[in-house]
Amino acid sequence: MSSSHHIHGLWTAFVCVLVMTIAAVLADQLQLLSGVRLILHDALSPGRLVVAAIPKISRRPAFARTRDLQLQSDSAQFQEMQQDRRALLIENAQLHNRLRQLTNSKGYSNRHPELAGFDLVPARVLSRYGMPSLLRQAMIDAGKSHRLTRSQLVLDTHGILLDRGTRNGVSEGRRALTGSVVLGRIDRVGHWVSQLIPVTDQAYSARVRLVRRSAQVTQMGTEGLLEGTGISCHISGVPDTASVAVGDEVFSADIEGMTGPHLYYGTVVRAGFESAAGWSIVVKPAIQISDVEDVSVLVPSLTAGRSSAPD
Amino acid sequence: MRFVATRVTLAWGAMIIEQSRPDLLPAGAVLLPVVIAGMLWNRSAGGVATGGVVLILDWIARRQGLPLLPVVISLGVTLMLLQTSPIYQWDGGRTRVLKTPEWVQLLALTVVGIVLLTGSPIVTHHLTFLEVLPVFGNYAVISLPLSILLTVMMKLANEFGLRPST
Repeated sequence: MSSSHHIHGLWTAFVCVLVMTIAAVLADQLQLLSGVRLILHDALSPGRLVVAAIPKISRRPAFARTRDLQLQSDSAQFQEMQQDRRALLIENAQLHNRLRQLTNSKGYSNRHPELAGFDLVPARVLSRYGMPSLLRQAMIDAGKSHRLTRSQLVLDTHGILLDRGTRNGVSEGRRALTGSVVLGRIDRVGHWVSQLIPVTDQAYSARVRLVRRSAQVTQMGTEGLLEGTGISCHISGVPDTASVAVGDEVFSADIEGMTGPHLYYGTVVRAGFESAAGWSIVVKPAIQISDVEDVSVLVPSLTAGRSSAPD
Repeated sequence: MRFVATRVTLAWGAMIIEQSRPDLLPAGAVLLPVVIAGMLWNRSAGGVATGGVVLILDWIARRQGLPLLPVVISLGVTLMLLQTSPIYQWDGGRTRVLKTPEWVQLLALTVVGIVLLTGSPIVTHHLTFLEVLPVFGNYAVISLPLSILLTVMMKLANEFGLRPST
């Protein structure tokens, strides 16, 4: 009798696991697991932070370490040069616009210091969900304890020195951030972890500006609304009078409504007219979240000069 | 309750270690043998259910393809525990059940788990077996020695009467 109960219990346990697995799959299909996922990762965080604090001991052979370091260094240098190129592209277009404005206004300048500055919070990607080509979400190891809030932008800032802007006399690292690649946006924030959606997600949208490069001049193009389509991005709202071409670069127009560094989204790979709706533009993102391990979250902050009220 | 708490704590620790050093430990390489050992430890339905739930929670936290692991591992453990049940041992050989030596159980289930963890890209990403083989190696180099260690520990616990019997 006892052994019969034992067998019955074992099969019951297996059936329970089977039912729970099916329920988990269905809940995932209905996107009901995001909150649970965040809670689970938050529950793992205290122990993870303790283990991460233990110094790493590398047992790789010296020659392999040297080769890895060389590869990392080359890769960082390449990324930095890419970012410099994009930053110069924006600077060139800005200077061209400014020259045109000054010529029109006969030298009158109305420039003010910026209201907001931006800090970068470094984070590591803990896990990703979905196929690499159709990535839906990713989890990073920074949350409310790092001052993160919903809808903040997540960047790939590989090879960036945040203090470079200050050292060069450019406020708030703006020069250093311009050209950084936008990977996505914070969707849910836990205490120690956050969940982000990539730029290709259908829930992602942002105001962007096209930048066009020709043989003579680099110029800021028109603005539009970038939205994720699941596998790439689509820009709408560009009037049919605007000039758009394949190969145009796409940068952010603003950051949460504030003027800030021009962050990079990607390149226009297809552009065509839609009846009455203006241009229909397809953008290939510069980097996918599936390709990066370390990211940075852009946290806006009021600049000291503007935040204190005058007497 | 004590067994459930111990298993959940061990699984939590395994996941923490894996998340802290993803460069050394692939996701599931430590957790898988620990959970299977927990399921086999006291040969009970509670152990199977707890292990299954932990594997489902792990799938929710670090989703990789379909959650085949909780189902297949729970089924494997159930079948292996059934053969130790007295009703199968004293039926005069009329019932055919999977006969696996006890010392192979953990190792065999771990190999099945690794195949499920690493084999899914063959279907989902149309990778070849040779492309997946290095990933299998990365798992095997961590999971199989750990399985052997846990098997030895379970055997010793048996000898010293520390492991509950059915």
